[in-house]
Amino acid sequence: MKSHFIVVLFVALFQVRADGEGTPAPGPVPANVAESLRDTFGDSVKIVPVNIVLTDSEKAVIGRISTSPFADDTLRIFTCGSADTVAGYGILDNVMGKSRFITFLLSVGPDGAVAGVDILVYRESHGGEISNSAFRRQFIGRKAGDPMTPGRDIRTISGATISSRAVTAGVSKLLAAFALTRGRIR
Amino acid sequence: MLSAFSSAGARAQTVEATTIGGYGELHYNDADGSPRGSLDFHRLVLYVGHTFDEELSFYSEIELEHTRIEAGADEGGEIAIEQAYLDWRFAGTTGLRAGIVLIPVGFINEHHEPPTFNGVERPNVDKTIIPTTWREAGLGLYGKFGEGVSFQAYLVAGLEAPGFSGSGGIRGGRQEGFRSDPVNPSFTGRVDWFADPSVRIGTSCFVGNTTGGNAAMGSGTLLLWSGDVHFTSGGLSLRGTGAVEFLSDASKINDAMRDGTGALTTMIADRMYGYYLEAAYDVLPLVAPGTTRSLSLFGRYEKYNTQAAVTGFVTDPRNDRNEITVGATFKPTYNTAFKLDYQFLNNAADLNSNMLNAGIGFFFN
Repeated sequence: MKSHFIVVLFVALFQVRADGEGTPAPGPVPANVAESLRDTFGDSVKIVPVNIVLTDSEKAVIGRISTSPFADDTLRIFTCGSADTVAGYGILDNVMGKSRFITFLLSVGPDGAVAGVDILVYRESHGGEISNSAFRRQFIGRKAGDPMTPGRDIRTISGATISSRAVTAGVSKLLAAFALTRGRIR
Repeated sequence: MLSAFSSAGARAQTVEATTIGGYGELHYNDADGSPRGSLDFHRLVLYVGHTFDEELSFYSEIELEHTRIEAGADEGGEIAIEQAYLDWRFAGTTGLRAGIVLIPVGFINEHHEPPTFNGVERPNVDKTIIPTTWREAGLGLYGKFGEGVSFQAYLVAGLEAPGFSGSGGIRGGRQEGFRSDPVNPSFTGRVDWFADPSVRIGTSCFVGNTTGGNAAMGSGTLLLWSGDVHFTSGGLSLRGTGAVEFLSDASKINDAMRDGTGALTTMIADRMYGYYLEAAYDVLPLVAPGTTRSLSLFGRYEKYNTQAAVTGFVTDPRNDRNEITVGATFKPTYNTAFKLDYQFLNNAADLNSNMLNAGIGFFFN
Protein backbone atom coordinates (compact mmCIF):
# COMPACT_ATOMS: atom_id res chain seq x y z
CA MET A 1 0.00 0.00 0.00
CA LYS A 2 2.80 2.33 0.93
CA SER A 3 4.73 1.59 -2.24
CA HIS A 4 1.54 2.08 -4.25
CA PHE A 5 1.12 5.51 -2.66
CA ILE A 6 4.67 6.46 -3.54
CA VAL A 7 4.11 5.41 -7.12
CA VAL A 8 0.91 7.46 -7.28
CA LEU A 9 2.73 10.47 -5.78
CA PHE A 10 5.59 10.09 -8.25
CA VAL A 11 3.18 9.89 -11.14
CA ALA A 12 1.35 12.95 -9.84
CA LEU A 13 4.58 14.94 -9.56
CA PHE A 14 5.59 13.77 -13.00
CA GLN A 15 2.30 14.96 -14.42
CA VAL A 16 2.82 18.37 -12.86
CA ARG A 17 6.27 18.48 -14.38
CA ALA A 18 5.00 17.34 -17.73
CA ASP A 19 1.77 19.20 -18.05
CA GLY A 20 1.57 21.69 -15.24
CA GLU A 21 2.54 25.31 -14.89
CA GLY A 22 6.03 24.73 -16.30
CA THR A 23 4.76 23.50 -19.62
CA PRO A 24 4.27 26.23 -22.19
CA ALA A 25 0.78 26.08 -23.59
CA PRO A 26 0.83 25.04 -27.22
CA GLY A 27 -0.05 27.85 -29.57
CA PRO A 28 -2.05 27.57 -32.76
CA VAL A 29 -0.84 25.11 -35.36
CA PRO A 30 1.53 26.99 -37.72
CA ALA A 31 0.22 27.07 -41.27
CA ASN A 32 3.22 25.35 -42.80
CA VAL A 33 3.10 22.64 -40.14
CA ALA A 34 -0.56 21.96 -40.91
CA GLU A 35 0.10 21.90 -44.62
CA SER A 36 2.94 19.42 -44.24
CA LEU A 37 1.03 17.15 -41.88
CA ARG A 38 -2.04 17.07 -44.11
CA ASP A 39 0.19 16.19 -47.07
CA THR A 40 1.48 13.24 -45.06
CA PHE A 41 -1.57 12.03 -43.14
CA GLY A 42 -4.48 13.26 -45.25
CA ASP A 43 -6.48 16.43 -45.69
CA SER A 44 -9.18 15.46 -43.24
CA VAL A 45 -7.04 14.91 -40.15
CA LYS A 46 -7.61 17.03 -37.10
CA ILE A 47 -4.34 18.43 -35.79
CA VAL A 48 -3.95 18.96 -32.06
CA PRO A 49 -0.77 20.57 -30.69
CA VAL A 50 0.70 19.04 -27.53
CA ASN A 51 3.74 20.29 -25.66
CA ILE A 52 5.79 17.78 -23.70
CA VAL A 53 8.52 18.99 -21.37
CA LEU A 54 11.46 16.63 -21.34
CA THR A 55 12.88 15.57 -18.02
CA ASP A 56 16.58 15.68 -17.32
CA SER A 57 16.74 11.89 -17.34
CA GLU A 58 15.00 11.76 -20.72
CA LYS A 59 17.40 14.32 -22.14
CA ALA A 60 20.31 12.29 -20.82
CA VAL A 61 19.01 9.17 -22.57
CA ILE A 62 18.43 11.07 -25.81
CA GLY A 63 21.84 12.69 -25.53
CA ARG A 64 23.46 9.28 -25.66
CA ILE A 65 21.66 8.52 -28.92
CA SER A 66 22.03 11.81 -30.80
CA THR A 67 24.52 14.64 -30.62
CA SER A 68 21.86 17.15 -31.66
CA PRO A 69 21.09 19.49 -28.75
CA PHE A 70 17.64 20.70 -27.81
CA ALA A 71 17.01 24.41 -28.25
CA ASP A 72 14.82 24.14 -25.16
CA ASP A 73 13.17 21.45 -23.06
CA THR A 74 9.83 21.45 -24.82
CA LEU A 75 8.96 18.89 -27.44
CA ARG A 76 6.40 20.36 -29.84
CA ILE A 77 4.19 17.51 -30.96
CA PHE A 78 1.10 17.57 -33.16
CA THR A 79 -1.27 14.63 -33.06
CA CYS A 80 -3.10 13.97 -36.30
CA GLY A 81 -6.24 11.91 -36.61
CA SER A 82 -9.92 11.73 -35.87
CA ALA A 83 -11.84 11.39 -32.62
CA ASP A 84 -10.99 7.73 -32.16
CA THR A 85 -7.91 7.03 -34.26
CA VAL A 86 -4.44 8.49 -34.50
CA ALA A 87 -3.09 8.73 -38.04
CA GLY A 88 0.31 9.95 -36.89
CA TYR A 89 2.29 12.62 -35.18
CA GLY A 90 4.34 15.63 -36.17
CA ILE A 91 7.29 16.95 -34.18
CA LEU A 92 8.62 20.44 -34.84
CA ASP A 93 12.21 21.31 -34.05
CA ASN A 94 15.22 23.44 -34.95
CA VAL A 95 18.74 22.21 -35.58
CA MET A 96 21.80 24.39 -36.00
CA GLY A 97 23.30 24.42 -39.48
CA LYS A 98 26.61 26.13 -40.16
CA SER A 99 25.54 29.36 -38.50
CA ARG A 100 21.74 29.51 -38.56
CA PHE A 101 18.84 27.39 -37.44
CA ILE A 102 17.04 25.00 -39.73
CA THR A 103 13.38 24.48 -38.82
CA PHE A 104 12.08 21.04 -39.74
CA LEU A 105 9.08 18.84 -39.11
CA LEU A 106 9.34 15.12 -38.49
CA SER A 107 6.20 13.09 -39.18
CA VAL A 108 5.89 9.75 -37.44
CA GLY A 109 3.28 7.05 -38.02
CA PRO A 110 1.46 5.21 -35.20
CA ASP A 111 4.08 2.46 -35.52
CA GLY A 112 6.84 4.92 -34.64
CA ALA A 113 8.34 4.90 -38.13
CA VAL A 114 9.17 8.08 -40.00
CA ALA A 115 6.40 9.06 -42.39
CA GLY A 116 8.09 12.21 -43.64
CA VAL A 117 10.64 14.93 -43.03
CA ASP A 118 9.93 18.48 -44.16
CA ILE A 119 12.34 21.41 -44.11
CA LEU A 120 10.03 24.27 -43.14
CA VAL A 121 12.49 27.15 -42.96
CA TYR A 122 16.05 27.04 -44.28
CA ARG A 123 18.09 30.09 -43.36
CA GLU A 124 21.67 29.21 -44.26
CA SER A 125 23.24 30.80 -47.31
CA HIS A 126 24.45 27.45 -48.68
CA GLY A 127 23.07 23.95 -48.34
CA GLY A 128 19.36 24.44 -49.01
CA GLU A 129 19.46 21.32 -51.17
CA ILE A 130 18.49 19.30 -48.09
CA SER A 131 14.96 20.41 -48.95
CA ASN A 132 15.10 18.16 -52.00
CA SER A 133 12.75 15.22 -51.61
CA ALA A 134 15.46 12.77 -52.68
CA PHE A 135 17.36 13.61 -49.51
CA ARG A 136 14.34 13.67 -47.22
CA ARG A 137 12.93 10.38 -48.51
CA GLN A 138 15.90 8.53 -47.04
CA PHE A 139 14.40 8.81 -43.55
CA ILE A 140 11.02 7.27 -44.33
CA GLY A 141 10.41 4.01 -42.49
CA ARG A 142 13.25 4.48 -40.03
CA LYS A 143 12.52 4.05 -36.33
CA ALA A 144 14.17 5.01 -33.07
CA GLY A 145 17.39 3.08 -32.69
CA ASP A 146 17.85 2.42 -36.41
CA PRO A 147 21.36 3.28 -37.60
CA MET A 148 21.47 6.74 -39.14
CA THR A 149 25.14 7.50 -39.58
CA PRO A 150 25.52 10.40 -42.03
CA GLY A 151 27.48 9.38 -45.08
CA ARG A 152 26.79 5.71 -44.46
CA ASP A 153 23.13 5.07 -43.66
CA ILE A 154 22.00 8.51 -44.79
CA ARG A 155 23.67 9.90 -47.88
CA THR A 156 24.78 13.46 -47.33
CA ILE A 157 24.62 16.04 -50.11
CA SER A 158 27.92 17.20 -51.55
CA GLY A 159 28.28 20.86 -50.62
CA ALA A 160 25.54 20.60 -48.00
CA THR A 161 27.28 18.25 -45.61
CA ILE A 162 26.77 20.29 -42.45
CA SER A 163 23.05 20.76 -43.08
CA SER A 164 22.64 17.10 -44.06
CA ARG A 165 24.31 15.98 -40.86
CA ALA A 166 22.39 18.45 -38.70
CA VAL A 167 19.01 17.26 -39.95
CA THR A 168 20.05 13.60 -39.68
CA ALA A 169 21.07 14.11 -36.05
CA GLY A 170 17.86 16.01 -35.46
CA VAL A 171 15.69 13.22 -36.84
CA SER A 172 17.55 10.66 -34.75
CA LYS A 173 17.06 12.84 -31.67
CA LEU A 174 13.33 13.37 -32.24
CA LEU A 175 12.71 9.67 -32.87
CA ALA A 176 14.40 8.87 -29.57
CA ALA A 177 12.44 11.60 -27.81
CA PHE A 178 9.18 10.42 -29.33
CA ALA A 179 9.80 6.81 -28.29
CA LEU A 180 10.49 7.93 -24.73
CA THR A 181 7.55 10.30 -24.36
CA ARG A 182 4.74 9.00 -26.55
CA GLY A 183 3.04 7.47 -23.53
CA ARG A 184 2.56 10.98 -22.22
CA ILE A 185 0.91 12.33 -25.34
CA ARG A 186 -2.80 12.79 -24.68
CA MET B 1 18.91 32.29 -29.80
CA LEU B 2 15.54 31.14 -30.98
CA SER B 3 12.40 32.73 -29.80
CA ALA B 4 9.25 30.66 -29.50
CA PHE B 5 7.76 29.18 -32.61
CA SER B 6 5.25 31.67 -33.88
CA SER B 7 1.87 30.97 -35.34
CA ALA B 8 3.05 32.59 -38.54
CA GLY B 9 4.48 29.26 -39.53
CA ALA B 10 7.51 28.25 -37.52
CA ARG B 11 9.43 31.28 -38.67
CA ALA B 12 11.39 31.51 -35.52
CA GLN B 13 14.74 33.24 -35.65
CA THR B 14 13.61 36.67 -34.54
CA VAL B 15 16.34 37.53 -32.04
CA GLU B 16 19.73 38.75 -33.18
CA ALA B 17 22.53 36.25 -32.66
CA THR B 18 26.24 36.00 -33.47
CA THR B 19 27.96 32.75 -34.26
CA ILE B 20 31.61 31.87 -34.72
CA GLY B 21 33.41 28.94 -36.27
CA GLY B 22 36.50 28.31 -38.27
CA TYR B 23 38.89 26.02 -40.01
CA GLY B 24 42.62 25.48 -40.28
CA GLU B 25 45.29 23.27 -41.72
CA LEU B 26 48.90 22.44 -40.90
CA HIS B 27 51.03 21.13 -43.76
CA TYR B 28 54.30 19.28 -43.99
CA ASN B 29 55.74 19.43 -47.52
CA ASP B 30 58.88 17.59 -48.52
CA ALA B 31 59.94 18.01 -52.14
CA ASP B 32 62.06 15.29 -53.65
CA GLY B 33 65.71 16.39 -53.65
CA SER B 34 65.40 19.01 -50.95
CA PRO B 35 67.46 18.42 -47.81
CA ARG B 36 64.38 18.42 -45.61
CA GLY B 37 60.77 19.41 -45.69
CA SER B 38 58.98 22.28 -44.01
CA LEU B 39 56.12 22.59 -41.59
CA ASP B 40 53.68 25.37 -42.23
CA PHE B 41 50.40 26.22 -40.54
CA HIS B 42 49.05 27.21 -43.91
CA ARG B 43 45.87 28.88 -42.84
CA LEU B 44 43.66 29.57 -39.88
CA VAL B 45 40.29 31.00 -40.73
CA LEU B 46 37.63 32.30 -38.38
CA TYR B 47 34.00 32.49 -39.39
CA VAL B 48 31.91 35.19 -37.85
CA GLY B 49 28.24 35.26 -38.68
CA HIS B 50 25.40 37.35 -37.43
CA THR B 51 21.68 36.96 -37.76
CA PHE B 52 19.79 40.22 -37.85
CA ASP B 53 16.34 38.79 -38.31
CA GLU B 54 14.53 35.96 -40.03
CA GLU B 55 15.69 37.02 -43.50
CA LEU B 56 18.84 39.04 -43.07
CA SER B 57 22.23 37.76 -41.97
CA PHE B 58 25.92 38.50 -42.30
CA TYR B 59 28.66 35.98 -42.92
CA SER B 60 32.41 36.38 -42.98
CA GLU B 61 35.67 34.47 -43.10
CA ILE B 62 38.84 36.14 -41.89
CA GLU B 63 42.03 34.31 -42.73
CA LEU B 64 45.55 34.35 -41.39
CA GLU B 65 47.93 32.53 -43.72
CA HIS B 66 51.35 31.18 -42.72
CA THR B 67 50.95 32.07 -39.03
CA ARG B 68 52.25 35.62 -38.94
CA ILE B 69 52.94 38.90 -40.64
CA GLU B 70 56.10 40.79 -39.85
CA ALA B 71 56.74 44.38 -40.71
CA GLY B 72 59.62 44.65 -43.13
CA ALA B 73 59.88 40.93 -43.74
CA ASP B 74 60.29 39.92 -47.35
CA GLU B 75 58.25 36.81 -46.86
CA GLY B 76 55.37 36.28 -44.59
CA GLY B 77 51.77 35.46 -44.32
CA GLU B 78 48.73 37.54 -44.91
CA ILE B 79 45.55 38.50 -43.23
CA ALA B 80 42.71 38.54 -45.66
CA ILE B 81 38.94 38.67 -45.75
CA GLU B 82 37.83 35.66 -47.75
CA GLN B 83 34.14 36.37 -47.46
CA ALA B 84 32.10 39.20 -45.98
CA TYR B 85 28.58 39.60 -47.23
CA LEU B 86 25.07 40.46 -46.26
CA ASP B 87 22.59 37.79 -47.17
CA TRP B 88 18.95 38.80 -47.57
CA ARG B 89 16.77 35.76 -48.12
CA PHE B 90 13.72 37.75 -49.16
CA ALA B 91 11.54 35.07 -50.74
CA GLY B 92 11.70 31.51 -49.52
CA THR B 93 14.77 29.96 -51.08
CA THR B 94 15.66 33.07 -53.09
CA GLY B 95 17.97 35.71 -51.75
CA LEU B 96 20.35 38.54 -52.49
CA ARG B 97 23.97 38.46 -51.44
CA ALA B 98 26.20 41.57 -51.42
CA GLY B 99 29.74 42.14 -50.23
CA ILE B 100 32.87 40.10 -50.78
CA VAL B 101 31.53 36.85 -52.18
CA LEU B 102 33.17 33.63 -53.30
CA ILE B 103 33.20 33.22 -57.06
CA PRO B 104 31.00 30.12 -57.51
CA VAL B 105 33.31 28.53 -60.10
CA GLY B 106 34.41 24.94 -59.61
CA PHE B 107 33.69 23.17 -56.35
CA ILE B 108 36.69 23.70 -54.08
CA ASN B 109 36.47 27.49 -54.27
CA GLU B 110 33.23 27.50 -52.32
CA HIS B 111 33.84 24.37 -50.25
CA HIS B 112 37.45 24.49 -49.16
CA GLU B 113 37.40 23.38 -45.53
CA PRO B 114 40.31 20.93 -45.32
CA PRO B 115 38.36 17.82 -44.21
CA THR B 116 36.08 18.16 -47.23
CA PHE B 117 38.76 17.32 -49.81
CA ASN B 118 41.43 14.65 -50.14
CA GLY B 119 45.08 15.56 -50.28
CA VAL B 120 47.04 17.90 -48.05
CA GLU B 121 47.12 20.59 -50.71
CA ARG B 122 44.13 21.64 -52.77
CA PRO B 123 44.22 20.28 -56.31
CA ASN B 124 46.56 22.39 -58.42
CA VAL B 125 43.82 22.87 -61.01
CA ASP B 126 41.96 24.59 -58.19
CA LYS B 127 44.91 26.88 -57.61
CA THR B 128 46.11 27.67 -61.10
CA ILE B 129 43.16 27.42 -63.47
CA ILE B 130 40.48 28.21 -60.87
CA PRO B 131 42.39 30.53 -58.55
CA THR B 132 41.05 29.53 -55.14
CA THR B 133 40.22 31.12 -52.82
CA TRP B 134 38.73 33.41 -55.46
CA ARG B 135 36.56 36.17 -54.07
CA GLU B 136 35.55 39.56 -55.33
CA ALA B 137 33.34 42.42 -54.25
CA GLY B 138 29.92 42.35 -55.83
CA LEU B 139 26.31 41.39 -55.49
CA GLY B 140 23.88 38.92 -56.91
CA LEU B 141 21.05 36.47 -56.48
CA TYR B 142 20.80 32.83 -55.49
CA GLY B 143 17.92 30.42 -55.35
CA LYS B 144 16.38 27.29 -56.78
CA PHE B 145 14.74 26.35 -60.05
CA GLY B 146 12.23 23.89 -58.66
CA GLU B 147 13.24 20.56 -57.22
CA GLY B 148 16.92 19.75 -57.30
CA VAL B 149 18.30 22.69 -59.31
CA SER B 150 20.09 25.60 -57.60
CA PHE B 151 21.61 28.73 -59.07
CA GLN B 152 23.86 31.63 -58.15
CA ALA B 153 24.45 34.74 -60.30
CA TYR B 154 26.63 37.71 -59.37
CA LEU B 155 27.96 40.92 -60.82
CA VAL B 156 31.44 41.45 -59.39
CA ALA B 157 34.53 43.58 -59.79
CA GLY B 158 36.51 41.81 -62.46
CA LEU B 159 40.05 40.60 -63.03
CA GLU B 160 42.99 42.78 -64.03
CA ALA B 161 44.99 41.46 -66.98
CA PRO B 162 48.34 43.00 -65.91
CA GLY B 163 48.37 40.43 -63.11
CA PHE B 164 48.05 37.45 -65.45
CA SER B 165 51.08 35.33 -66.28
CA GLY B 166 52.14 32.48 -68.48
CA SER B 167 52.77 30.10 -65.61
CA GLY B 168 50.23 31.31 -63.05
CA GLY B 169 47.35 31.93 -65.43
CA ILE B 170 44.73 34.39 -64.20
CA ARG B 171 45.55 34.01 -60.50
CA GLY B 172 47.51 37.25 -60.22
CA GLY B 173 44.63 39.23 -61.71
CA ARG B 174 42.31 38.88 -58.72
CA GLN B 175 41.36 42.06 -56.89
CA GLU B 176 39.84 40.36 -53.83
CA GLY B 177 37.95 43.39 -52.69
CA PHE B 178 41.12 45.38 -52.01
CA ARG B 179 40.26 48.85 -53.29
CA SER B 180 38.79 47.01 -56.24
CA ASP B 181 38.53 48.93 -59.46
CA PRO B 182 35.05 48.31 -60.86
CA VAL B 183 36.16 49.21 -64.37
CA ASN B 184 35.85 45.55 -65.46
CA PRO B 185 32.43 44.50 -64.16
CA SER B 186 32.10 40.77 -64.66
CA PHE B 187 29.37 38.18 -64.49
CA THR B 188 29.78 34.90 -62.69
CA GLY B 189 27.19 32.23 -62.20
CA ARG B 190 26.62 28.64 -61.35
CA VAL B 191 23.88 26.06 -61.77
CA ASP B 192 23.82 22.79 -59.82
CA TRP B 193 21.67 19.78 -60.45
CA PHE B 194 21.19 17.43 -57.54
CA ALA B 195 19.94 14.37 -59.31
CA ASP B 196 20.06 12.41 -56.08
CA PRO B 197 21.83 12.81 -52.73
CA SER B 198 24.64 10.80 -54.33
CA VAL B 199 25.02 12.88 -57.48
CA ARG B 200 25.82 16.56 -57.88
CA ILE B 201 26.49 18.02 -61.31
CA GLY B 202 27.45 21.66 -61.60
CA THR B 203 28.43 24.09 -64.31
CA SER B 204 29.77 27.57 -63.75
CA CYS B 205 31.23 30.52 -65.62
CA PHE B 206 33.03 33.81 -65.23
CA VAL B 207 33.01 36.38 -68.03
CA GLY B 208 34.21 39.94 -68.22
CA ASN B 209 36.78 42.31 -69.66
CA THR B 210 40.14 42.53 -67.93
CA THR B 211 41.96 45.54 -69.38
CA GLY B 212 40.03 48.40 -67.83
CA GLY B 213 39.45 50.08 -71.17
CA ASN B 214 43.14 50.36 -71.98
CA ALA B 215 42.93 50.74 -75.76
CA ALA B 216 46.41 49.36 -76.31
CA MET B 217 45.39 46.08 -74.64
CA GLY B 218 42.05 45.69 -76.34
CA SER B 219 39.15 44.45 -74.25
CA GLY B 220 40.88 41.35 -72.86
CA THR B 221 37.59 39.55 -72.48
CA LEU B 222 37.94 36.44 -70.36
CA LEU B 223 35.47 33.59 -70.61
CA LEU B 224 35.95 30.83 -68.05
CA TRP B 225 33.69 27.82 -68.26
CA SER B 226 33.80 25.04 -65.73
CA GLY B 227 32.00 21.85 -64.85
CA ASP B 228 32.19 19.54 -61.87
CA VAL B 229 30.66 16.21 -60.93
CA HIS B 230 30.43 14.43 -57.60
CA PHE B 231 29.24 10.90 -57.05
CA THR B 232 29.15 8.83 -53.89
CA SER B 233 27.95 5.30 -53.35
CA GLY B 234 28.69 3.40 -50.19
CA GLY B 235 32.34 4.00 -49.46
CA LEU B 236 33.12 5.09 -53.01
CA SER B 237 33.53 8.75 -53.87
CA LEU B 238 34.26 10.11 -57.34
CA ARG B 239 34.99 13.72 -58.17
CA GLY B 240 35.81 15.47 -61.38
CA THR B 241 36.35 19.11 -62.26
CA GLY B 242 37.28 20.75 -65.53
CA ALA B 243 37.70 24.33 -66.65
CA VAL B 244 38.69 26.13 -69.83
CA GLU B 245 39.55 29.81 -70.20
CA PHE B 246 39.53 31.91 -73.37
CA LEU B 247 41.18 35.32 -73.27
CA SER B 248 40.74 37.69 -76.18
CA ASP B 249 43.49 40.15 -77.05
CA ALA B 250 46.16 38.19 -75.15
CA SER B 251 48.77 39.20 -77.71
CA LYS B 252 47.81 42.87 -77.34
CA ILE B 253 48.13 42.59 -73.58
CA ASN B 254 51.55 40.98 -73.94
CA ASP B 255 52.64 43.65 -76.44
CA ALA B 256 51.43 46.46 -74.19
CA MET B 257 53.51 45.09 -71.35
CA ARG B 258 56.82 44.78 -73.21
CA ASP B 259 59.74 46.38 -71.41
CA GLY B 260 61.82 49.29 -72.64
CA THR B 261 63.87 47.03 -74.89
CA GLY B 262 60.79 45.64 -76.55
CA ALA B 263 61.11 42.26 -74.87
CA LEU B 264 58.06 40.41 -73.67
CA THR B 265 57.58 40.55 -69.91
CA THR B 266 54.44 38.45 -69.93
CA MET B 267 53.49 35.43 -72.00
CA ILE B 268 49.81 35.30 -71.34
CA ALA B 269 47.95 32.65 -73.29
CA ASP B 270 44.87 32.88 -75.44
CA ARG B 271 43.58 29.65 -73.95
CA MET B 272 44.17 27.78 -70.69
CA TYR B 273 42.54 24.64 -69.35
CA GLY B 274 42.71 22.10 -66.60
CA TYR B 275 40.85 19.12 -65.22
CA TYR B 276 41.16 16.43 -62.62
CA LEU B 277 39.54 13.15 -61.78
CA GLU B 278 39.65 11.67 -58.32
CA ALA B 279 38.50 8.37 -56.86
CA ALA B 280 38.45 7.56 -53.15
CA TYR B 281 37.26 4.59 -51.14
CA ASP B 282 36.61 4.43 -47.42
CA VAL B 283 38.18 1.16 -46.34
CA LEU B 284 37.67 1.48 -42.58
CA PRO B 285 34.20 -0.14 -42.46
CA LEU B 286 35.74 -3.22 -44.06
CA VAL B 287 37.81 -3.84 -40.95
CA ALA B 288 35.70 -2.01 -38.35
CA PRO B 289 32.01 -2.39 -39.22
CA GLY B 290 29.81 0.22 -37.61
CA THR B 291 32.62 2.71 -37.15
CA THR B 292 31.80 6.38 -37.48
CA ARG B 293 35.38 7.18 -38.50
CA SER B 294 36.68 6.91 -42.04
CA LEU B 295 39.93 6.09 -43.77
CA SER B 296 39.78 6.97 -47.45
CA LEU B 297 42.44 5.85 -49.87
CA PHE B 298 42.45 8.04 -52.93
CA GLY B 299 44.11 8.74 -56.23
CA ARG B 300 43.84 11.88 -58.34
CA TYR B 301 44.99 12.67 -61.84
CA GLU B 302 45.36 16.31 -62.83
CA LYS B 303 46.13 17.82 -66.20
CA TYR B 304 46.43 21.56 -66.74
CA ASN B 305 48.10 23.92 -69.13
CA THR B 306 48.32 27.69 -68.67
CA GLN B 307 49.63 28.11 -72.24
CA ALA B 308 47.39 25.78 -74.19
CA ALA B 309 47.17 28.24 -77.10
CA VAL B 310 49.33 31.34 -77.56
CA THR B 311 49.99 34.03 -80.14
CA GLY B 312 53.33 35.64 -80.93
CA PHE B 313 55.67 33.49 -78.86
CA VAL B 314 56.60 29.89 -78.23
CA THR B 315 54.95 28.08 -75.34
CA ASP B 316 56.96 27.00 -72.35
CA PRO B 317 56.47 23.22 -72.00
CA ARG B 318 56.84 23.53 -68.22
CA ASN B 319 53.36 25.03 -68.18
CA ASP B 320 51.85 21.87 -69.65
CA ARG B 321 51.54 19.85 -66.46
CA ASN B 322 50.16 16.52 -65.38
CA GLU B 323 50.18 15.31 -61.83
CA ILE B 324 49.23 12.19 -59.94
CA THR B 325 48.47 12.29 -56.23
CA VAL B 326 47.92 9.16 -54.15
CA GLY B 327 47.28 9.14 -50.45
CA ALA B 328 45.04 8.58 -47.49
CA THR B 329 42.68 10.72 -45.43
CA PHE B 330 41.79 9.56 -41.94
CA LYS B 331 38.82 11.34 -40.41
CA PRO B 332 38.17 10.66 -36.72
CA THR B 333 35.14 12.89 -37.10
CA TYR B 334 33.57 14.35 -40.20
CA ASN B 335 35.19 17.71 -39.46
CA THR B 336 38.73 16.63 -38.57
CA ALA B 337 41.28 15.00 -40.86
CA PHE B 338 44.77 13.57 -40.82
CA LYS B 339 46.23 13.43 -44.31
CA LEU B 340 49.16 11.84 -46.05
CA ASP B 341 49.90 11.83 -49.76
CA TYR B 342 52.58 11.56 -52.39
CA GLN B 343 52.59 13.59 -55.58
CA PHE B 344 54.22 12.93 -58.94
CA LEU B 345 54.49 16.39 -60.50
CA ASN B 346 55.32 16.12 -64.18
CA ASN B 347 55.42 18.53 -67.10
CA ALA B 348 55.95 18.41 -70.83
CA ALA B 349 59.56 19.60 -70.40
CA ASP B 350 60.24 16.41 -68.45
CA LEU B 351 61.35 18.50 -65.48
CA ASN B 352 59.57 16.24 -63.05
CA SER B 353 59.55 16.20 -59.29
CA ASN B 354 57.89 14.36 -56.47
CA MET B 355 56.48 15.65 -53.21
CA LEU B 356 55.58 14.05 -49.91
CA ASN B 357 52.87 15.83 -47.97
CA ALA B 358 51.34 15.31 -44.56
CA GLY B 359 48.89 17.46 -42.72
CA ILE B 360 46.01 17.96 -40.37
CA GLY B 361 42.83 19.86 -41.02
CA PHE B 362 39.68 20.76 -39.16
CA PHE B 363 36.63 22.92 -39.21
CA PHE B 364 33.98 23.69 -36.64
CA ASN B 365 30.84 25.75 -36.43
